[in-house]
Amino acid sequence: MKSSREKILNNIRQYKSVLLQESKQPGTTFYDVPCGLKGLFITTVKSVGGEIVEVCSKSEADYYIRSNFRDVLDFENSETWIEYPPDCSVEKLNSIESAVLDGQAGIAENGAIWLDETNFPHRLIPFVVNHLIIRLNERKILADMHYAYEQIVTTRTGFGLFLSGPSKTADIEQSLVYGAHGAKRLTILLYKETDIKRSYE
Amino acid sequence: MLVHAKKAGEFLRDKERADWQDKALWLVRKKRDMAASEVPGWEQLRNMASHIKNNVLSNLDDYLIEFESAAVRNGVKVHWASDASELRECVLSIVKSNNAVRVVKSKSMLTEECRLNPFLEKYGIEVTDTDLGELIIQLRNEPPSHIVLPAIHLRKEEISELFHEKLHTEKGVNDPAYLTAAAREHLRHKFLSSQVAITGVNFAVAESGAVIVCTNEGNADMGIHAAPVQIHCMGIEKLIPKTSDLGIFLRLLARNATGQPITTYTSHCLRPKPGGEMHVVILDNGRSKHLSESNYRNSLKCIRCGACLNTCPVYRRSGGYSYRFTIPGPIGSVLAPLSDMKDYKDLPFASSLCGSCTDVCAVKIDIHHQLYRWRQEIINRKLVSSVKLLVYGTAAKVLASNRLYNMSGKMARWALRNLPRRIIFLKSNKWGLERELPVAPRESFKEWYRRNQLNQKV
Amino acid sequence: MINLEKKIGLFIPCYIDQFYPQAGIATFELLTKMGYQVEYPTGQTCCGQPLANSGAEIKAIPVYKNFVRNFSNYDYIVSPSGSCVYHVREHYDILEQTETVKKIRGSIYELCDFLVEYAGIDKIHIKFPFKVGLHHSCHGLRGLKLEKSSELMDKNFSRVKQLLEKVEGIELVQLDREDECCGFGGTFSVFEPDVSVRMGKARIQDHEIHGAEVITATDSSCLMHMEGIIRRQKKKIRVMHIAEILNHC
Repeated sequence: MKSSREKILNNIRQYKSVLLQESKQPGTTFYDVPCGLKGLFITTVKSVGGEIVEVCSKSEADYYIRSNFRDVLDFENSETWIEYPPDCSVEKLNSIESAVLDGQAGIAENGAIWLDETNFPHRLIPFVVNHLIIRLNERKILADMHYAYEQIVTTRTGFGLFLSGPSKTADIEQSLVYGAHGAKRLTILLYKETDIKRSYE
Repeated sequence: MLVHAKKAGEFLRDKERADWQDKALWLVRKKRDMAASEVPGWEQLRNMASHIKNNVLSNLDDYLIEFESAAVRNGVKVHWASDASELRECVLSIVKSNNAVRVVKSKSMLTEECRLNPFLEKYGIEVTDTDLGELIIQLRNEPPSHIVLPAIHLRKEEISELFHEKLHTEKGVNDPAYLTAAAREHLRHKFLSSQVAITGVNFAVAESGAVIVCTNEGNADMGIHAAPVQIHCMGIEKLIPKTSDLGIFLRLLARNATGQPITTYTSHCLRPKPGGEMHVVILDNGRSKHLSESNYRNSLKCIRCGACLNTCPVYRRSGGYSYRFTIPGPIGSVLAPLSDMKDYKDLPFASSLCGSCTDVCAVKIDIHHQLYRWRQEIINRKLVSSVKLLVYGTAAKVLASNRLYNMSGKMARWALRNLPRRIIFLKSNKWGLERELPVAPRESFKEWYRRNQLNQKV
Repeated sequence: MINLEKKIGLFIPCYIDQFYPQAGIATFELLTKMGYQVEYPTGQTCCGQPLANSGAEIKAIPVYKNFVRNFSNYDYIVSPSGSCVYHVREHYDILEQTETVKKIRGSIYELCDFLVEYAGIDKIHIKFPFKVGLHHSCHGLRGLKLEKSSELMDKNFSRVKQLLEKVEGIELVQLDREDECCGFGGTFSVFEPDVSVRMGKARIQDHEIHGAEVITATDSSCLMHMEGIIRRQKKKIRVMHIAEILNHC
């Protein structure tokens, strides 16, 4: 393998020296942040097949979840983390019907939410459940992906993702179907909170 | 007849299917337009993406080394494969060293290019393609016909029949939701019992060593987080320098590909899971040599969004199989001759050079200009029939001489006006199969001009 | 508006010269009516595009040289063909770039482009009370950027529409696929006849279902291809080069 590495790198050095235009790195352009980020986020979440419920506070979000959904595992609770540790069996994870996770940020232009390993003990969780429920503080909505990468440290843990809507496919005659291999349903509880306990860092 | 032309003709004979595919792909193009129009500064984004990729290709070795260092620091095992055979052996060795026999694979055109599946299967390893479109064609033992929509050439009745046979769904039930649910159940079992998961790479970030995998179905993630071992296969050109560059590429990719603002899942894989293994295989397979081709090196910027396929009026009316290459359509017609000029010498001619592909390309590859250059190279190397070369040589002589040109034109018009139809419209007259030739006027423009003595210096 | 003393060389593409002289005549008359000194050098033949698009640009060099010889002494070169103008501007780069070659490449214009840029389009007073479908020939559209193509997210503009909108009584129809290629593509039309014809039929149908009586374009090559299908299918819709509409009596 070492020789392949050297071979490839030498090839590149040899061939690239046939001048390709040296380009300076362009800066990122930030566009005027549209007002009504929350409104835009809500619209885009719905357009990608997600449900979104506006509530006044985090505790109201919890109340809503308890009242409307059954068999829900809340990963805010440390007990849940203990019961579903990183070396948990995939069969056990597969038996989870619904899970609640806390989103770190929402992106208004595409309805995506950033999650990483501080939000779930096992990486399979956001994908394996049938119904994924995410609590999100509305003050954590960012305009677009440029702002996202500026404000979120995406390399903080070994795995993270932007998640936008329930899983979907259109591979059969371009007919859109929700619930391919990931969650069939995504519900976002968007709450207001004046004092933010968590930060991105 | 050109190979592509012949196969396209066959494709078009099933008019209903051909029309359906054309309409379906045009709709994806329209969705792309709508999504792009909602992004202020879309054209600037394209410029920036093109710029960044130019920078990457100019410093590819440095970025690869940077990526490797970061990945290794993260606990990722990095492998280098000069060609397809080395990639296959590398993946096999990882699978074998883990005593694995059950592998799941998400969409990766690169592993198609390397013919990975049949190779692993020879060693008794079960490989399941988990993207729904890829699963469908795997069950049919067919290659993909589109790089993003692999089963676009199939109707739901055919998929229903296939699933009835292979997955024991109810016969005659064509509902896409029902069929998708059946695939979900079948694949859920595969994911949970998989030992190795293989994915492609949408972007590899040099500064952090992260591998970015974008899917709508969640199949890549189901595999890599369930299986203890994950392998990500990437071409050397898939690098981007910085994490912040992802902002640009992720805003372009899904919108350009399918008209979505982003794929459902955009997974950032940096470190192996606790107790697991994460491998990245970096493949060359001729890509480094492409860097030396000044006419075609631009094609290395490709992020495989598929927009050029959707917009191409020729691809939409000839189907992916007419190209006989892993990647069909406009970008495929540039890449295929790079890999084998003789086998694919027809592809640069499978285009009207309309330029739509160049205008939709997320990274501003001048695709149709490259096709034009390919044509020159193919003729210069005399890869076409000697009859064609003779015709071109003769035509050049005629068109370079006023006298010969005028005479030939007059003769051609006389022939059109006087020869019987059965001679003019011989089967060898490809124009005349479904078109009339123009009405031949008695007087050319030049003759009219001269007759009216409009030119003082005749 | 340019000085009327400037000399304009008229380039008439080979297929217009031979098969659609009426488009060439209309172009000549239109420019002359505007007061320009227009000359058609009679030694001209072809710009060489058919050969170059087939891959034989090296063989086409003598054809290119004949073009340069004939057009070396004009202030502007105007042609009723987007594809030929594009070819000279872009692909004559393989010739030695003498002052003459550079001048020619920098001063050649497609007709509509010239009219809007230099000729003062307010001079157009034409009646053409018909439903017209505008076919956006690809080389003029994406090559010469006579209009904004549908793929690009830029400000809308169209030199061609600017002219047509001055024509009294004209009604431009809206199409489903505004700027899809007609499928002519030069030798593509005979190398890939099935795809070429299918594309042409689709264009014609788009115009027909939106009620167009006449299809017009900046390139007679596209029109020749569509007309071939129209006449074989005995359809009523007509084709006319845009010069013929702008010069209509």
